[in-house]
Amino acid sequence: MSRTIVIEPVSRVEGHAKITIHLDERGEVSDARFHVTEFRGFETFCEGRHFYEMPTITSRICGICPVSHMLASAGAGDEILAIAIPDAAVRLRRLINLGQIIQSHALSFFYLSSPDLLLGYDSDASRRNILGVAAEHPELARGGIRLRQFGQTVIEVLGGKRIHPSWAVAGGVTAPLTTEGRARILAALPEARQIAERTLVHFKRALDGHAAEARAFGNFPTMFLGMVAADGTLEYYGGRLRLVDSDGHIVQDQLSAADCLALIGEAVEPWSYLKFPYYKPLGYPAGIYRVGPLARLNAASRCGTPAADAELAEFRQLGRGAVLSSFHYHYARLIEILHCVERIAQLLDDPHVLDRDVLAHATRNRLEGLGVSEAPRGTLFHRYTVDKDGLLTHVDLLIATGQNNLAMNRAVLQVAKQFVDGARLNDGMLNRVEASIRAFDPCLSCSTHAFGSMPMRIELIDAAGSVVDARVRPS
Amino acid sequence: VILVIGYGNPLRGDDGVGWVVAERLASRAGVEVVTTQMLVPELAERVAAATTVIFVDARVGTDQGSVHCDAISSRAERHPLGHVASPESLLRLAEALSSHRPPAFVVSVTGADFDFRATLSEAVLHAVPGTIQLIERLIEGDRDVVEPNTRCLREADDERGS
Repeated sequence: MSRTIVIEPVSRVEGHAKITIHLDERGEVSDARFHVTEFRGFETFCEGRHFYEMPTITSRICGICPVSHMLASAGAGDEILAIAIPDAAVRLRRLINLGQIIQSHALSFFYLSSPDLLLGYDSDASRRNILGVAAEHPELARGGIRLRQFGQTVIEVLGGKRIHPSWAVAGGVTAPLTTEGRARILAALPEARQIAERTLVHFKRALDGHAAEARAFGNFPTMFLGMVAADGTLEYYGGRLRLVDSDGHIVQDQLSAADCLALIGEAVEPWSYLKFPYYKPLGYPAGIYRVGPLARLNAASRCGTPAADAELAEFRQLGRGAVLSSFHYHYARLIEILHCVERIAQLLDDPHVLDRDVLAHATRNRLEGLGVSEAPRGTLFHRYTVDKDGLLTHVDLLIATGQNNLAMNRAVLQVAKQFVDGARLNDGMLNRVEASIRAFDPCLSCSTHAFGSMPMRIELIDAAGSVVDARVRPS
Repeated sequence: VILVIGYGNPLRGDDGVGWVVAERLASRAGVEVVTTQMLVPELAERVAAATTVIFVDARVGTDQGSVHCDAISSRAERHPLGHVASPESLLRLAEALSSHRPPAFVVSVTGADFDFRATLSEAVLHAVPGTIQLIERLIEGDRDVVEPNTRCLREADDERGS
């Protein structure tokens, strides 16, 4: 008798999702799927709004990465204005994006994933949270909180508030960096760097203990997409796009956002609201690719900052070309935090960072605009079409999590085959399945959060569709 | 320092009462005020550094405009902590990070209207002066304002050994 195990909701991720694991007649895993069960509808209800409003509206998509949407949206607006924005605005957009990546990565690593990594996948579920981490590793937990505060400070200093700033607009940004703001960020930099370095040391020491998970958490060949500068250095804003294969060979390089999107198709499956983007030349689903920290480190030639480059060299020893295991998203995230801290220091050291010419003015000059930024979870595209008055007639958002959808589904299947025994379910098995998704740090709802508010329900369903067993994990 | 944290969504009518009350206490000596849409783990260190913490929030109920004061215990928390915290989980995190848990209270006002608006309802607006007076009594050490029959208070008493 075949059976289905349902894990719903997936906990410690941003949004609503469930996982189904299908067992065959022998009780062995035959298939697994990651279903995204919520629907947002931003693309449709933004139609009719003016493109100039979009950075503010779309930043509300997400409470964790509002800056990413704000920047991609402002970039699309720049194209509709058909102007080059002031250099100072580009620098400041870069700066705020680095703060965004630090705070989001700190949330993902310390708040959501460190309970698994530090306390163990099989540890008591009631303690497997940041409180449990704080009780056993207070310095590490404190570091995570401080690191997140640092990233939020960068956002607040530039954007005026920590969440949902309305600061980047079509044409640039609305306010320059002040001397006081620069001093405030500089004062917090040394501690942020210490925490980033200390956490990397801690993580690398613990890596051997996670060898089984590293082998099975989405460890397969795919392509990787990330933004790079003209010389191939890691970039998060204002760069071009590069695709590498699983051997680390460059497949496409220096792509504009438009050229990149032309290579991406979107498939739809009836069991998920999340589309399945794929690399069109390879077709669906063979055109699987990944975005985000792991992809960026695989795609870039170098980080471009000394400490992060030293870490990258060590990181690359994990693969024979690209690093393939999605478990190493965690590792890549920590290297990116260190890099972002270093990069912020470099940007603040530039005397032009205080330039006050930060906004160019124009009216609508084009009917289409496409903006791209590297969000914490990967490459984010906003494409708008407007009428002659600048009112939106079409909105297309390609989010990072969607681009990882094929890989997340394959990861779930791989982990389930490795760890799930249909004859005797336990919490540790199911937590590993969830943790394989957490490694990608998916942002499913972007602004609503199921974590901690809903119970987890696992059902065994027979071939006739009857529930033969169920287990509920209370919230 | 006494930390007053007013939290809620000021764009959802009476959910913003915590902000209004906290902001009116901002000029009081020895009081530090935080206003925020939601409680987050990043507040834990400030909580740990305070001598007393007073959370000001809206609540749902039929006694619209009435003011409640509950002592809280970190042991009352059953929900895990993510990037959003409850007063209880915030206290527990503060204690784990610093081995110090200050006495803490939730002062709440029963809302009448949580629709999309940036102003308070009449009932809640009238309750604001009384809420501030209650908090000032708490700040001065008057514990008679705490509702006597709450589960949280009993747990807090247990922990104090009374």
